[in-house]
Amino acid sequence: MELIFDRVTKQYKNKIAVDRVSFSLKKGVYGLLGANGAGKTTLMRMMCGVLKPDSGEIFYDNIKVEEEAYRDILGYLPQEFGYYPDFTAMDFLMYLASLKGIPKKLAREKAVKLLELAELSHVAKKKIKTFSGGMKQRLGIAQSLLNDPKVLVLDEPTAGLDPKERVKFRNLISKLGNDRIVLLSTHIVSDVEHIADVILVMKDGSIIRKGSLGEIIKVIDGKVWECTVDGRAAEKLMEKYLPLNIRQEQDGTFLRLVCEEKPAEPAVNMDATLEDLYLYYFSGAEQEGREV
Amino acid sequence: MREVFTLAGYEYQKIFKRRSTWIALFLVLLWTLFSVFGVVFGDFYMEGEKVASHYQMAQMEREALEHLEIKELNQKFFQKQKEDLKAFSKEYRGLLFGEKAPGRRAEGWKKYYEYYAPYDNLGTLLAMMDNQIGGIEMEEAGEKDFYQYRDIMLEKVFEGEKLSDGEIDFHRKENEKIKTPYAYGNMIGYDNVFRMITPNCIFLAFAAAIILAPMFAGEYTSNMDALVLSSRFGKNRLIIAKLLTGISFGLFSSLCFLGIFLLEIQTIYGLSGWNLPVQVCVSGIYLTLPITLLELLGIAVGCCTIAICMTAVAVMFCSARMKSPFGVVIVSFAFISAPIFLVSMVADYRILFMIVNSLPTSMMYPAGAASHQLVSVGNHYFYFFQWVPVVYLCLMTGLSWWSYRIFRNHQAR
Repeated sequence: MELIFDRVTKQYKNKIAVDRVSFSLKKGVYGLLGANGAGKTTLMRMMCGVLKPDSGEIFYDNIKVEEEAYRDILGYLPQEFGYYPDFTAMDFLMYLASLKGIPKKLAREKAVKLLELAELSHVAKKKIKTFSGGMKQRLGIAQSLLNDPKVLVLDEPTAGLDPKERVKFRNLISKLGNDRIVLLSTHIVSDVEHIADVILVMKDGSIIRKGSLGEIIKVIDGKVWECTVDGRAAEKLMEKYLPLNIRQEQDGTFLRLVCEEKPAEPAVNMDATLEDLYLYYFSGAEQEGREV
Repeated sequence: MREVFTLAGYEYQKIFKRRSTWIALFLVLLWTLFSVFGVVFGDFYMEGEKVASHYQMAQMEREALEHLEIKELNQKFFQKQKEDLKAFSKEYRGLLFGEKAPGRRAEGWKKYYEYYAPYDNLGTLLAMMDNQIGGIEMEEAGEKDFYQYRDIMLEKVFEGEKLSDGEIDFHRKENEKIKTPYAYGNMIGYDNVFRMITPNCIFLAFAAAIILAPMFAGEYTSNMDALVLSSRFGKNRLIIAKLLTGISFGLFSSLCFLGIFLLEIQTIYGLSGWNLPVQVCVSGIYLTLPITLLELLGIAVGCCTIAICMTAVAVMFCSARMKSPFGVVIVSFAFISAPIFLVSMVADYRILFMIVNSLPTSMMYPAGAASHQLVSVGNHYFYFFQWVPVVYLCLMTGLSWWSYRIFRNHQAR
């Protein structure tokens, strides 16, 4: 079970959305992290065969993504989850099941189970247009699992879910990752932190880091500092270094910074988190020429 | 194939879950009912005095034509017409126009209509001929005059339409095949069918445009495109199912509404004159086709049905190509209504006329489908209703294939 991206490129007019990306995914949960416009959604759409790369190929165990055989093992939750407002949740799942080629009887059993899993059983016969954002998102997740996919692509799956639902979703994804490839993108760093076996950091159309949480955090390991200083010193530090967190306190300004050396006398070295890494990569520190 | 039918079932569900579908179909139904029943509502007045209802008049004409003594347009028929109208003038004219008329006009009108009803349609036919050639003594016309006038009229029409010598020869030969004297009877039902079938079908075409516009474009606007195109059957069977749904909707809806329409016509006017030649009705007097009213009805229903199916395919093509159902509706409305205005404007330009008259809306006109301009292949001549359906079948296949490709290659952005 291997999904291979081979020098995949996609360009929109003057912008290169995905730039010669090559990597492979095996069984497990992959978290795709990147700022808006980094190319995550474009990459996922190409992976699902709904957007054609300008060059390069994507294939799963020698099956090209354009083939029906690939779509048969694919589950996809798009970023903008579409639905038919006048369909009930059950109708919607049954329709998508027939699109996925699942026999009617089996489809009904699966739909019932998935509605239960998504805690939507009580509204199975209600029109989707009456659902809240979270309910729609859960329905979207449920539909992506209808065909028990070998490749599951989830674009911003936790958007609109409340913290309790997110925790439940994380647990579900962790379980699913045991025997399939799951790729999910999200802005919620903690979701990736908790679920993903491997994190892919995407920036300007390229995968700039790939590895486990521990591996990719190494980049800023020992470089995260916290200190509380007076206002003037804080301003100077913020100009010089990348602030990860700023908070006004009674005895001064609390700062969490990324830098190679101890930025100030009272500074204490802290363990780096994925959020630190995210901010480090996507706050533009490199472009702004700030020291690290 | 079973999957295609299952998916087509869901496409029908999508169609019928939209409120716009029900509103459009309801309006078509309303129009279909009104187009027949609406005409018989109301009363007929003389000098401010109600003499009969339109319904009564239709029934009297039906009754008279269904029980004619002479069932052929022969000399005896013309003779009887003159005698009957003379007898009415002698005995009952006073009830309508004399001193005794006030208060008794209804009775007089009833008598007048009993005498006049069997000859009402014949009077219209003679008036049409007079309109073309002039100088017809309508009250004096006999059997010979009638057929002679018609031949003269046809020659004038051929000349006006700038037909080729080959076409004129063809029409003359066709005309000779029509058995004279014409069988005569109740043609008013068919006459009403041929007059009303066109607006009814145009209304249905508009409704089909509204209903089918979201077929593909609706997937784009509802953001379902990415989801359906990434599913197993999204790039093949689903598209076939959509096309099948659109075409079958065109077919079933036209047959259903035409069925309702014919049922109404049968109720009010009757369709008993099925074996009469088309030339005895107003819509068929110009035609040289040696066919019966039932056969022309078959041609009209067939042409309307395939024209609606063609419109449905054109709408679906626009739907696959454009990104919003609203845009599709606008373009489709223009496509449906343009021939109504263009056909008379381009009448003098042969090629333009052939193109405009072969568009789906033009094919909904029975006179358009059977018009005199023909297409010749070798020594054979073909009417519009013969060659256009063949072209439509080819176009429908081509446009369906094109729509298939557009949706399959659609890039979800």
